[in-house]
Amino acid sequence: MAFTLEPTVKVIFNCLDESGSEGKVMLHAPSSQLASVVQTNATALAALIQAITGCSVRSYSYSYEVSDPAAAAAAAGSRIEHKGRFIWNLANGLETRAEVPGLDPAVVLSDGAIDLTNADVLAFVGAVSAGTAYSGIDGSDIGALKAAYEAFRRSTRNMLPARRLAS
Amino acid sequence: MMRGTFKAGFSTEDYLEAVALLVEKVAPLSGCTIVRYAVVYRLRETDPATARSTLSITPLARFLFTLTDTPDTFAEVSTPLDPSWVLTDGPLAGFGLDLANSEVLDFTDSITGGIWCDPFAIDLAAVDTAYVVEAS
Repeated sequence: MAFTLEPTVKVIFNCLDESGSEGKVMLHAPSSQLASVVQTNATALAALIQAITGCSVRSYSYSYEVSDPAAAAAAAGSRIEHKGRFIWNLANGLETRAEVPGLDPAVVLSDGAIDLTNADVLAFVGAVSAGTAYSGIDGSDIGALKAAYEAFRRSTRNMLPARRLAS
Repeated sequence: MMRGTFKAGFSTEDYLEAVALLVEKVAPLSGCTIVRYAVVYRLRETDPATARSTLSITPLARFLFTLTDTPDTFAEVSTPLDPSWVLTDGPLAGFGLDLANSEVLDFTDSITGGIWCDPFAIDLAAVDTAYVVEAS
């Protein structure tokens, strides 16, 4: 893996018109800029966009993206519909989940549970549970793992194989 | 796609480092190749303004900005169009936008005078032209 930070931060403003339709305005800023600087500039620009469009700027986001320009090929037979679902308890009594796409069948037990004695699984669960930065969507601390099992998602058109005939 | 949430209060470098570490842990569990990840900050207006009446999100206003290193290349920024910007006389009537409009000037000056750049991190120099685009 050779992940590299993209040269720019992508800033997307979400605009809503009177009919309820949504439009987006996308701009870029150098990724060398601190998040606080991007946010200050984006907040100022949101007001200007609102002034010149008449739309209501309801939200905006900015993202620092990292990509691997020389990514290895995916494993033969891997399918993103086959997921590993991990559910953690949160400190506030709620739950949070993460789903790993293209789950390796080797880490799934015969009853569909994920093998929590597998070293790779333990390393993943530990990185989420022991990390201080991760949280639930409401900011609540992540606690112990509650459940881990395989799950399947319905295939979309793009997920279906290119050749579908028997011959 | 896999999503997670972070607590606030860490630096972008901390977040990116945490995700990079997690990527190394996820890769052995999945037959997929991880090609991209991102740390995204989301902000929501808690007191949103009401959209101007009769305004439609289409068509769009497209602004072309020259780049500082290669003035003959351009970056574009599209926004929803306020019909009052459209020129009503001259050769660009009904198509070009009024770059002398004070609100439009505030917007374009903010773009060229701020941190904004093209997707390859080249600074935007000046607004070159702006016109109406009929979005589908």
